[in-house]
Amino acid sequence: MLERILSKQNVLLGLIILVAVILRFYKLDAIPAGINYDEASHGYNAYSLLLTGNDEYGMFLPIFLRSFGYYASTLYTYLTIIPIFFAGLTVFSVRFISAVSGVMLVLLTYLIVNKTSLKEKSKIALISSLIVTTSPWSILFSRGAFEANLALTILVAGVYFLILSLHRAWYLILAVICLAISTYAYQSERILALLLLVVTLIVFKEFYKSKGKFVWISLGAFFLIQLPQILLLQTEGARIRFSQLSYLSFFDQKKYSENYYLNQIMIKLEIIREFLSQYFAYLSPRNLFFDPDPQAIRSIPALSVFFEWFLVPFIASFKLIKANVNDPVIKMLLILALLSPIPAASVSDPFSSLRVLPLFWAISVFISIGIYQLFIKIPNKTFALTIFFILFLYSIWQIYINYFILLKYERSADWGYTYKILDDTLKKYPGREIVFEDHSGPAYIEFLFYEKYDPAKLQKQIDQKIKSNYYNNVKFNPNYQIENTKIGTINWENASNRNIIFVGDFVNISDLQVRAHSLRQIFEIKDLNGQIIYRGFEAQN
Amino acid sequence: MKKMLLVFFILIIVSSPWFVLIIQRNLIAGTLTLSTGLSLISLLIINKTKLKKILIWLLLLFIVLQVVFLKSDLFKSLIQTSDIEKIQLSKRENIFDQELKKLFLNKFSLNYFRNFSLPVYKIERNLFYSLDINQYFFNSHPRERGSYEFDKFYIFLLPFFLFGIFIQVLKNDLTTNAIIIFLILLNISLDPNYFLGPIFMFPVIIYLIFLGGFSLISRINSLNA
Repeated sequence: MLERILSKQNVLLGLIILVAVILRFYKLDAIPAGINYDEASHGYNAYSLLLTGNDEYGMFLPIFLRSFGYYASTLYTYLTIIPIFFAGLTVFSVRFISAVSGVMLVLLTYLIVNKTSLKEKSKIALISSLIVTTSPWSILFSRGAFEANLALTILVAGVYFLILSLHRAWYLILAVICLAISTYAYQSERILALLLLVVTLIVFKEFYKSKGKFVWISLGAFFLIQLPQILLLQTEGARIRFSQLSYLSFFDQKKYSENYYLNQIMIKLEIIREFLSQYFAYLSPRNLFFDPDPQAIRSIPALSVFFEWFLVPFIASFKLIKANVNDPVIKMLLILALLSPIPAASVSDPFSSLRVLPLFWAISVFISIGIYQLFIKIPNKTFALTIFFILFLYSIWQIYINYFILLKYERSADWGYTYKILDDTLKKYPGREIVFEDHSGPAYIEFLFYEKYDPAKLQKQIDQKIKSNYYNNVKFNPNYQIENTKIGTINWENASNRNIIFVGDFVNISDLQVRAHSLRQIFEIKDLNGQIIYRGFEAQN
Repeated sequence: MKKMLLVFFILIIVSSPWFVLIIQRNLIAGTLTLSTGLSLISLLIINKTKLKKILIWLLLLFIVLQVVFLKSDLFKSLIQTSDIEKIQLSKRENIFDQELKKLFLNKFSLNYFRNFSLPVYKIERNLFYSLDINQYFFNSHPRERGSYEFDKFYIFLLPFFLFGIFIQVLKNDLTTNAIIIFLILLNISLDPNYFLGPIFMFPVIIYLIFLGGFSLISRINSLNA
C-alpha cells in the first residue's frame, strides 16, 4: 500500500501539486498589490453575509449578488465566508478559494488525462498537470478572487464525472450536479454547462440510450438545482449582464437599407459576422500565445495566456488528437474547446480571457499531448529532456519576471493598491470631512473593505427600496457616505471650507481647479511605479 | 474539374480586397506574390516529380525576387524605437534594478535588455500577428488597431481556409511545410502596419484556402461516387 502511494508517478504528481501550491499561494496577499473592486465586493459581501446573513444591501441570502448593479454569481462569495470566518476580512482570505480551486484543477487534470486510452497516458497526465500548474492563465486567475476560476474547477469536475459515467452510468448524476453548481459560480457557465450536457448526451447517445433511468434522474437534478435561477429569469437582474455586454442592440439600431426586409437580413448577417469574429478571436494564435488580454486586471504585462513556445506543441498535438478522436476523453475535450467560446463570443468584449477559462484548460491538455508527441519524435531522450527542462525553467522565469515583478509594479493602480494607501493616509486626518471623487469604478467598496465597515450599519443607510425589489432594482448609484468620507462628485462651492479634504485624480481635480479654488496639496498617493494617482487638497487661508 | 476549380479560385483571389489593394499600391509586388501563391498551389495539382522540382525552384525564385524587391521595407520596424517604447524600457529597467539586483545588473542581462529585448519582442509580435486568423477574414476585429487595418479575404473563404490548415498539418508534406514556414518566418521582418499588409502570408493563405476547397470537393465527390 505504501509502495503504491510512494510510486514514482505519485511522487512526481505530488511535486507538481507542491509547485502549484507555491505558485498560487506565495505572497497571495501582496501580489497583485491591492484588491480590485470585484474582489472587494466578494470579500465585503461574504463578511456581511457571515455577520448578518444579508448582503451589503440587506438582502437575505441572495441568489445573484446585486453588487455594482450587474448581479454577479454568488457561489464564490458564499464560499469565501469560510476563510473569512477563520482568518478575518483580509486580501488573503478573499483570494483563498480561487487559489484552492487552482490547485484542485491541477489534480483534476491529472485524473482526467489518465483516463484516456493514449499510449503512456500517465506520462501525458503528468505533463498536463504541469502545464496547467505553470500556464500564465492558470496562475493569474488562481491568484485573484475570480469566480470564473472556481466555476472552471467545478465544471472540470463535472467533465471528470461525465467521463466516468461512460463506464458507470450513475456517475452522470454527480456530473450533472457539478455542472449545475458551476452555473452559480460564473455567468458564462449558465450557458456553457447546459450546452456541454446536451452535446455530451447527443454525442454519446449510443451509450446513454440504454441508461435512460440515470439520464432522466440527472436531467431532473439539473433542473431542480437550476430552479432558483430559472425562477429569476424574468427579473431584470438575471438578464442585465448579458444586455449590458451584448452587441445585439447595437446592430438592431443600424440601417443598411431602406427596404425593411433587406435591412433585417443585413442585420442578421452582420450579427453572424460579429459572432464569428469574436469566436475566432479566442482561437487565434495571436491572442493565445502573444497579445495579453486588453483589460489590465485580466492580464499579465508582456505575457499572453500561454507562453509563446506553446504554439509549437499545440500544432504538433493535432495529429495525435485526430488519430484518437474516438477516445471519449479527447472527444470531451474537443467538445469543451469548441463550446467554450460561445458565451464569450456573444458579447462585445474583445478577447475576454476570463470568460473562456474552460477553453484554455482544454488547450493546456492539447499542448501537453503535443509536448509528448514532440518528445517521442526526438531520438535522443536525454537531449529531449534537457530541451524541455530548459523551456520549463525559461517559462518559470517568465512568470517570475512578468507576474511577480512587472504586474506588481505596473498594475498596482489597476488592482486597487492606491485605495489601501489612501485609506491609511486619510486616517491621519481624523475629524476632517473627506470628499473623494473617482469615476474609474465603485471606489466605495474598497473603503468598506479596508475599514471593515459594520455591515448592519451600512444596510440601515442603504436605500431600503433596493431590498424590497432587489432583482429588478438595476440602477446603481456609486455615491456613498462612509462615516466622514463622501464618495461622489466634489461640490466646488465648498472649496473654501477648511474642514474638507478634497481627493481626486488629475482629471477630477485638475491643476486649473486647484489654482481657481486656491487649494493647497496636503498629500499625494502613488502607485508602486511611482506614478501619482490621487492627490489630497484643502483650502488655503 | 481541377482546372475549373483553379480558374474559379483565381478569379476569387484576384477580386479579393487584399490583392486589389496590393496591385493598386505596388504592381510588381502584387504580381510576384500572386505568382508565388499560384506556384505553391500548382504543387498540389501537378503530380510529375520533374515538373514539381521545377516548380519548387520557380517558387523559390519568386520569393527571392519579392525579398529583393521589398528589401528596403524589411526589418525597418525592428531597429526603430518609438518614444513610448523608450519610456517603458526605462521604467522597466528601474523596476528590474530594484527587484533583481545582481541578476539584472550584469553585462549580459543589461546588454540583452537594452539592445535585444525590444527587437525580440517585435519579431514575436510580427510573427504572431501574421498568424492571426481574424486579420485575414475579419479585418482584425475585435482587436483591430485602427486605420491601418483593411479588408483582406471574403468571409465565405474561411471554412476552406480552416479545413486547409487541418489538412496541411495532418499531411506529411515536408516540402510544402518548409516553404510555408519559410514564408511565415519572412513575415517577421514586416511591421503589422506595413502598407501592403503581411504580404509574405498572401501565398500561404491562398494555398490553404485552395487546399481546403479542393480537399472538401474531392471528399464530396468520393462520397457521391
